[in-house]
Amino acid sequence: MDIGLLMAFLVYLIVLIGVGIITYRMMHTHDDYYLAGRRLNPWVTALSAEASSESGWLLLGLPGQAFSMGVGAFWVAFGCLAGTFFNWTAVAGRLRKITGFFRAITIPDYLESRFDDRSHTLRVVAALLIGVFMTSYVAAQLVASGKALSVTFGIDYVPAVLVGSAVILFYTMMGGFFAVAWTDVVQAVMMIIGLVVIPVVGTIKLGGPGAVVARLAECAGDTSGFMSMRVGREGIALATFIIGMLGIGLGYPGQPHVLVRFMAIKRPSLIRKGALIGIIWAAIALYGAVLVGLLARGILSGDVGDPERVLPLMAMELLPSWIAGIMIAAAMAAIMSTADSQLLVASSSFVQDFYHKTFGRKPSQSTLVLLSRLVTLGIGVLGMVIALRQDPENPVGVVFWLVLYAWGGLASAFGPVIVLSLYWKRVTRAGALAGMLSGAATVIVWESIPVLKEFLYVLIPGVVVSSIAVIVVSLLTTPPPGPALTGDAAAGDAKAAGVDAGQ
Amino acid sequence: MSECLHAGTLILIALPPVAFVIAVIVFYFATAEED
Repeated sequence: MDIGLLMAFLVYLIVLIGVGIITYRMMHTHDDYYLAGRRLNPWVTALSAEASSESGWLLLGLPGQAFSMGVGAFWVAFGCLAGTFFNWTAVAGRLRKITGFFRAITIPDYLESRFDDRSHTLRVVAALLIGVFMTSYVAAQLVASGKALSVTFGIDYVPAVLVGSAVILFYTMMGGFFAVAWTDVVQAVMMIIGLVVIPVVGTIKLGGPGAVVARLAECAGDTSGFMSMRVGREGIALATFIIGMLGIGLGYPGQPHVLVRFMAIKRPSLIRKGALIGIIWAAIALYGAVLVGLLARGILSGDVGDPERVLPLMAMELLPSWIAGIMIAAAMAAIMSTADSQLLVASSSFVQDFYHKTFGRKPSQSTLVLLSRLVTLGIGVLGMVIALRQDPENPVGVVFWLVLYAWGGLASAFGPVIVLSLYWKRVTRAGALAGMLSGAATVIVWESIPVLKEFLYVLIPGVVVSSIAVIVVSLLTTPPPGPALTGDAAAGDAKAAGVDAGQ
Repeated sequence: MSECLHAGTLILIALPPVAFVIAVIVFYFATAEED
């Protein structure tokens, strides 16, 4: 085991534990635990939203895809960039205003208040969908972190999962949203450094941009379409490929662990600055990740094995071991920053949405915080148990089956409902319920039919069906009494009532 | 078969990040500061 690599990695883990201890003192209430008391600055909000939304996929999956597919992987980067742009400019500001007005701290909270649903149906359905998808998602991140640690340091899979899980659980339990948001900042900075340093050093090593293009063309050899955005496809195959790749970006407005970041910013007006930071970060990171994969084709010799290992392999090939250690820690950072946010959202759906609101318990703030910590621990341990049951040599298991659905399922269940409810006053409670259920159901059905699954990425039909369901059912049911609150209305009403919607 | 990157492909690759960054700068200056 390389000492430089190990030391860099240990320093990173110690920093995370330190953040957990410091933020423990910043947290007094239940609002603090789940939403940092709505007092995040735009830098923290932006970097936390970006680090949480991108996960280990950005540092491991996307470079792997570029390595296998070629420049066609840029289509995914375009789709993700468009999704990020839409989220920041069209969703974030309105969501912050209206959830501030309703004092909503979770997405089910928001849906119940927005549709004045006293039956708690929307809350229960939304919380169940979040609970199931997020717990599985957390488990999958823990599997990924276990694999990354065991490959890098040559330790067994089981202790690797235990170390990764213990660190994430420690700081998330201790500091709640504060800890998660601040560790996300550290992690976002590490990710962006990794995704800039590796492509720059790789390009220099190959002799500059011109030499890179020539070298890639030479290495691509007979690989069909490696250097073309058409990736060797024509006609309908090309069209469905492009729509599917761009369509990944449609998933952004439906991810509760990202949306709660927008809800936590100090004032709605700060979203403008957050958008600027977040989109520039995403543009650099997404392009950096594709470039890492492309350059790996020209730099790594011999059989690479699993393409998703190209970023750690490139770091070890191009950089001194202690810097490579930091770059590999950045890949772990990407996994951890998503797992911690998902852990918190899953915990909030049990504590806030079931215990506190649905069953109407009114415990003290300190009891709620304690309960939130215990539920976070419970979900983390459950995720860890699922992760430990996976065979690291054969990752195709129940967790990966569920992860396949998680991004598409959350996107289809929540995306159209959230966006339409922010802009269209006519959306009804029944419309929102129909949208959530039909979106989730479409994803499950589409994914289980191989012909459909191969034809088009599940998220597109899921979002289309859910949008149609929200619109049609809303038009067929009785409109809500009085003017329903959308983002602008919330701000207006809040001012009229002398309430500061920004707090 | 040795393909090279066409100029059109390079423009297609470079355009989206430039366009989105310009768009977000416009968004920053065009939206009101009030809460």
